[in-house]
Amino acid sequence: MKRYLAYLLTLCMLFACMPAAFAEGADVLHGYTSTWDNYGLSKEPITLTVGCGVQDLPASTVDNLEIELIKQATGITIEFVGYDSEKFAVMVAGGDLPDIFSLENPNMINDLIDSGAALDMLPYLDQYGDNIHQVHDSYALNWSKNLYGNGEHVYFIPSSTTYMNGEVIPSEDVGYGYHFRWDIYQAIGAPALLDENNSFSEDVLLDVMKQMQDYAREKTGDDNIYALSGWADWGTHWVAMIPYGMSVSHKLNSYTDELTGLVENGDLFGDADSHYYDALRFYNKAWRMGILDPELFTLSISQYCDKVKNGTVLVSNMGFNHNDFTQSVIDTFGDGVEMYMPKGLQYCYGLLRQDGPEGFGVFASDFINVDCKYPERAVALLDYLRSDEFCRATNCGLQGIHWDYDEAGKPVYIGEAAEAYANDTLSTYWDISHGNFKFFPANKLGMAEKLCSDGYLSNFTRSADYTAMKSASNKNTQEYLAFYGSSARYPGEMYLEWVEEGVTHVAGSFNPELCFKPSASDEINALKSKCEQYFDDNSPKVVFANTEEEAENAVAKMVSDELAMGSAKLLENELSRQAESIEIAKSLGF
Amino acid sequence: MTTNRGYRIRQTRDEKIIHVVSIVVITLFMLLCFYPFWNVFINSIAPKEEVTQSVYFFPKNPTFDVYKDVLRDGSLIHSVLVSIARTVISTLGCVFFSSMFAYLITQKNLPGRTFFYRFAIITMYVGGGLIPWYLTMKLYGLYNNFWVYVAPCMFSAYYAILIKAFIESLPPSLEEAAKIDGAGFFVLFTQIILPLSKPILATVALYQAVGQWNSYQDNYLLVQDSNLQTVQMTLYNYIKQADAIASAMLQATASGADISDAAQQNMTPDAVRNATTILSMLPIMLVYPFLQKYFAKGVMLGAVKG
Amino acid sequence: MKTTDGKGDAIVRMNMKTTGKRAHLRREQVGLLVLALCFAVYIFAFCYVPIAGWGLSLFKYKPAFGLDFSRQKFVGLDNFVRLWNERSEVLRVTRNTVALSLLGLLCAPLPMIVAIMFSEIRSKTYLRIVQTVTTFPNFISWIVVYGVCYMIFGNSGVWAKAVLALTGQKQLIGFLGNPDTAWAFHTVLDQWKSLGWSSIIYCAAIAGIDDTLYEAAKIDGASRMQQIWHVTLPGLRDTFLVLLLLSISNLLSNGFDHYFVFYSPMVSDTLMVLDLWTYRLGVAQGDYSFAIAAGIVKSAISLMLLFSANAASKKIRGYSII
Repeated sequence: MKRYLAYLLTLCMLFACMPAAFAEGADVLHGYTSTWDNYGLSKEPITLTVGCGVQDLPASTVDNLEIELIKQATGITIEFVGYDSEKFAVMVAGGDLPDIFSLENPNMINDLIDSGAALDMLPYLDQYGDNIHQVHDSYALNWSKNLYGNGEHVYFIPSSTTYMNGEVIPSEDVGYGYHFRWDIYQAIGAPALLDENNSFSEDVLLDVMKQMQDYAREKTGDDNIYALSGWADWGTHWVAMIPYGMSVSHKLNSYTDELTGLVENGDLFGDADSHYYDALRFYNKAWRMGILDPELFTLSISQYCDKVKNGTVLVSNMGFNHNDFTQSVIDTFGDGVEMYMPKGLQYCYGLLRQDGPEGFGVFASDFINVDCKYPERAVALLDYLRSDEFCRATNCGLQGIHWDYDEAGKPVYIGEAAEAYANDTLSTYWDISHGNFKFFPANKLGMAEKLCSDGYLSNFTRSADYTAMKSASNKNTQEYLAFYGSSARYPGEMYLEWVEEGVTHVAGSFNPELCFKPSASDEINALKSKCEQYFDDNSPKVVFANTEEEAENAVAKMVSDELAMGSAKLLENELSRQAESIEIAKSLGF
Repeated sequence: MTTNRGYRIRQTRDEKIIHVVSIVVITLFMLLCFYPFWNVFINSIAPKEEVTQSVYFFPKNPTFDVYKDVLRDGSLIHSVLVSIARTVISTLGCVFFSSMFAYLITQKNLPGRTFFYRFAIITMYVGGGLIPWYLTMKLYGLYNNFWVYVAPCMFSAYYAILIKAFIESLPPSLEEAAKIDGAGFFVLFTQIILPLSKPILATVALYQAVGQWNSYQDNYLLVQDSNLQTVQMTLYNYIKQADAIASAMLQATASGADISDAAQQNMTPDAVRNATTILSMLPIMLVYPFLQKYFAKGVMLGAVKG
Repeated sequence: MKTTDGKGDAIVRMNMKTTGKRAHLRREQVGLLVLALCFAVYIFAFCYVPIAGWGLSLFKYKPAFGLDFSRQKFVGLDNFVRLWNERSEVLRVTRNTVALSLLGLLCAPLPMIVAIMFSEIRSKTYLRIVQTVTTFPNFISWIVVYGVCYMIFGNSGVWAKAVLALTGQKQLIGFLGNPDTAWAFHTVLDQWKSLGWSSIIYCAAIAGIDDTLYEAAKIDGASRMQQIWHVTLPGLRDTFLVLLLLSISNLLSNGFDHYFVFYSPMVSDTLMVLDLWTYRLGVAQGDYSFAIAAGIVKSAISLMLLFSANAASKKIRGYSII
């Protein structure tokens, strides 16, 4: 026994010392000339460590198209380091940050810059920053330079930004907002969400949901069907934001109005008339009508999605593109069953693809470590990640290999990729021959979306004509569009028509005046978290009250507790920072 | 004669009741422990559509996609070997040193005996927090190399307490006999105490081995080298990727192709978590039955007489 | 024995010093001391050195400035004062923590009983199977346990269906969202998860009981029950006491993973435990100093509990573990 143990041990030690056998990546460039050559930098092989949130790590670094592309085109091998906010703090404390990193703790930004851990990129941008200038000159470079770099340094550039060069394209569907089980909605006669004055009414909305629930329960004989539910693992206040805020009040979690961007809609905490409390009242009404799922505050988002997919929840808080509701619902209930947004809901979140130069702000920005041994190549890499070539490659592959222009100048898939696209097996195609490249963290390193110089989006299958083609082949969607008598090619275009009619609203375009707000102090951030936590923990008391009076008493208690915590300071702070932002913008000529 | 017969009947009935009750209760408890494990297993092989409808006994169309995907990546095999090396070395070391310390503390000759013992025990209740621990490890050079897995784990106060309690329950006659023969501390420890303590040592070895196999915090924070990743870290990354896939779908920011392929569909975070649970349990399930003989009765038989 | 030679006297005395029993003892003591010191150095290096981190509780620690204390803001006892200011919350979460721990302590004999039942099983194969299967729950992480609980106890699960059918209610606030049953539910869950694994140590202890004691008892005419009472239980007594004492000293620590996973606003009143509360206010917000301050207070109280329980045990049973 002891002898075997010794043998096993020796064997293990030997294996553990051997480097893991990683397969050599395939030659993805096939003689393709990369725009990297324009930088005039050496292509000598080096390794750069790149840090990002653990959830943003690529699924596999082996046979990953983007990693191979970068390696072969630039000579840089990327080694990923994943962290969460705790590990990030540990790495900062120990001085072990990777060469390029994104911030997991946005509150740390001022300290990080003060301590001198971040490299000033400005000296390198003239030579290596063409794409960065193209995409970020309009706003982000100014923001980074003036708010965090004393007007002289650029310590970071935001990632996950959208560059549309002024053009505006409607998406296929809105991201979040109430979507009805269309078959059931039709079965009850598809009543409009309007009251006697022909304007949108919350109560009518609730009533329609109740009719849907009654119908569904009768039809299936199952009493465990509810019209409305939600998830709480993003914090309870998301219940107030996502479904209610995005469909009824068009006011979300910030102090700013979604449509104008201004701090206008009053306080969130400590104010019984705030839209947070309006949301709680709405859900309380739903509870008293019996259409609210009692498990609402215990569900995680995936459990919620399962409930929608298996029919126990009839109204989804998300669009049909999310979590492939469409396919799953069809699988469960057969053809003809999909989720669509009814006319009359007040806000279309994420409908328009338009310029979004702040991305997620400080939270998802790229920094370079001041100890990085190859600063020019690091800056050039960040620039390359924002180039047309890379943005297109990360979504659709390389020109001449996976896609090319047809006679009309429109990009189309070619060869094997074209076959896969036609058969709807693109994801398998990328998996087999190129690894899971679709999950390269383009979210946190590089752009969310870019309008390339050929006039098409970095993911050209999201352009309007491709989207129209996809909708045209979907019978249910065509019926949906016909129901509302619209000549739009796909639902997004129809929603834009509704916006023009004035029936619904969309967020305004990017307003640089309001985006130069300095970060809030530690005390304000701590106070905000405290109020949010308090709201999260106590909202069930309002929602599950059995009479209106009980609900109002619970609201009053929450409000007075929040005021006692000092919540009034939060609105004050927002207003003062907004004023500062307008000042700064003016001084910069915006 | 009446006494004899009376004694036997009482014995049999009494024994039988306890026997039956024990078996029934244990079997029920076993089923209660087995079903959730079975549930985890079937949910790792059930296709997505069936999961939304809840699978209780066995899926209609089982699919091993998730397992195939996990095992496809060669790094998992390598990390298994790293984990085995780590587990074996630190278990042997910890059991040996903890039991040595425990026996040391039972020596009445040791000056400051209580002080040393309390010095060790207090460490179970005090800790500096994550960042001080990290900086300390770095200070000792235990960063990004294999020794960070084993060096801090060579002693555990908790196991020392358990072993000491066991040693103190051993009959002192054995020790005394050997002492008269002139045996010193190390001889007593290796020739007498260790062999007699097999049950507790096996227990501690099992606890430590499982703890080491399942740990990933030190890997996560202190080891970036891809050759030194342990199984748990690899599996943890795998789960995070499934989360990322699901979250990308939720935010509709999935770049590239539409995620509507069947294979991808089955790779939900829950399925992935269930599959990784089964995979990390497998080695323990295979090893544990072989250790059980050390917990069987009869180990003490003949020790005193011989 | 006396000699007449002056030098002889000294020689005899010297020999006694280096070869006598007392000399032998002293040599042994030095050897043991050296060994103990080696252990102490190791323990100091790995367990006491990081405690220097307690100093961070006197600052408003910012990881970005590392150990450059000239740039860290000194706040003295502010973090502790904050704990005092939040005392109503602290009391609430401590109440929850202690309630759950006490319920757990009540269940302390269970692993012992399970081990005794294992010893009743005659078939070796069945014993191996049962011992292996009962340890399975220990290996299932809490996140996965939550998934299973949701499937069974969620409103779409079999439990809800059964209860609604039996009681005729229309709606059920299940275990996952019910703050009143939370303590009982989570104690049961905790026991389910740890019983099989904890019983291993009792099995080992039973294996260490001398068989001759059982034989002697049988000869004296003891029934099975009496054997268990008079032989097995006393043999397990020491192990049980040690584990009980350790559990008492860990009164303020509940499994963080367990409550983190099952936490929801519905049960926040009764299920928010000390570790989770400290985490939410401390690490989750990047306020490491506060987390360390709370940790110091908790360590102090745990040590007090340990020494008090030990003193009580010494008085009552004459048995001390430290």
